[in-house]
Amino acid sequence: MKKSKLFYLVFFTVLSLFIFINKTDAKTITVHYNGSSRVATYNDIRNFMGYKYTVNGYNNQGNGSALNQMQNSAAFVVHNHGAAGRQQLDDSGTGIAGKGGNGTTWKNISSLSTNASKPLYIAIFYGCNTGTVSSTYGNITSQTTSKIAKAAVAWTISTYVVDVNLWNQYFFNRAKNNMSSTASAALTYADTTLAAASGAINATGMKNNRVTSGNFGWTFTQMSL
Amino acid sequence: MKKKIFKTLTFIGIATLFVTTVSAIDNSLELKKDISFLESKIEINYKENLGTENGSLLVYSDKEKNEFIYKDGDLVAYIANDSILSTTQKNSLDNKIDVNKKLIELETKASNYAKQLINAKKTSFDSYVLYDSAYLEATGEYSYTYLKMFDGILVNDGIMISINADGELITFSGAFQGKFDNYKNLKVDTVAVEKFIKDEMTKYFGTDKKCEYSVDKQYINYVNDELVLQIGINIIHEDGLQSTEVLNYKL
Repeated sequence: MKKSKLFYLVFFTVLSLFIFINKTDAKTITVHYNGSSRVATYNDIRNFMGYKYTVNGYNNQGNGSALNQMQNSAAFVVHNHGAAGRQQLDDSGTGIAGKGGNGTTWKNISSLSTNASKPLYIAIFYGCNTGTVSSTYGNITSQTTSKIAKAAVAWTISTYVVDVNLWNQYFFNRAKNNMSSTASAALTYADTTLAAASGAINATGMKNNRVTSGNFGWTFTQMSL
Repeated sequence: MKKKIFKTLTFIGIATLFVTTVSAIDNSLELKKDISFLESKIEINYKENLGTENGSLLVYSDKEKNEFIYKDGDLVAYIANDSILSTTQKNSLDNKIDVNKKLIELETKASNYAKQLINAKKTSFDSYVLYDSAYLEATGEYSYTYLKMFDGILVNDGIMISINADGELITFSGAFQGKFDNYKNLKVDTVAVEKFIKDEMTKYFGTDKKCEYSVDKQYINYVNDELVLQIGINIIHEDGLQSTEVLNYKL
């Protein structure tokens, strides 16, 4: 065999192995959304993060695997209807709650085992009043960070699909373009850029009515490792 | 001979493409700008275009990696660099003596920044009111929003200021400054608006009205180049879950 042929053979074998290892090691980002108006939330995350992560999108799919997905993802994002302490995942009305659900229609984050290593870097619950504390369903963000996540975000107002899609786009744009950014800096970036794009009223809603729990000092480089 | 002609044509083709591309870039955006920002002269360089359905957002950065965002030639946002943002996150007023006094000082500082930045846009800060303020624990920002109001109705002409516990500017964003000023004396027919909302929501629910709704917010805005009263509707579904819809009442 000629030397050059041998070189190419070795090169492509190593390259294939590298791609295979990278692919199989890729962390997962899980995105639940509902309908064509909210699909942008999934599409933007896939476009920005797909080069590094396996991004799985679930349109209007129920809560059957949701808790398992939370335990096995680097980021878990939902964009759907919400209410105090809970978030819907499909039109038949199943979803996840901080606590107090019946375990079938509403699966409880409180039922998860505590994982001290906090493998889930961030959970984002885009929906109306998901961040409001309910006497029945509890606090969705603090339940999430107490069990498995480093950070969690939700809102205490009625959120609007267009604002959420844009905010989400800017947050993950930052995650891709500046991996040394902290999650905290990405929040600031998304708030400010949303105001630049669509005005201060909508951006103030998303910014000043956001509930956060956990630690936002980690970087997107750390999340990707 | 054929090879020579092919080489020459290829060269001409590449050269033409290069010149066209460069001139297109030159025509569409400035790669470098010298600007005045809060009394400082700064050189900024083009970084990226965050294009959206609402138009281009051109991002520039200075040598310290602070970012400046332009829309239609207008400076609409400033974001401090990551190093300042991460310091902001770690500091808070917890360590300060006399927190209430400090909060008043911070609000005054925010208002002064807003005034300076609005004045730089050759418009007046007088018609803006403090609409909302908050402390954001995850980022360490003290956030203030100032909005215009005409005859008691909000207008999508506002400025958002974030400062840290030391009063240093972290972010500013302000789009659509002065864009609605020609409509200062606009009278909105509240009875007609109420009827419009009722009709639209009846269409939305059809005969199957199992949900309740309420007006969440309304403000004057441009949508698809039309002046509208943009109305946010909060819908409470049978199972207690909530969602929203947006209605646009043409003015």
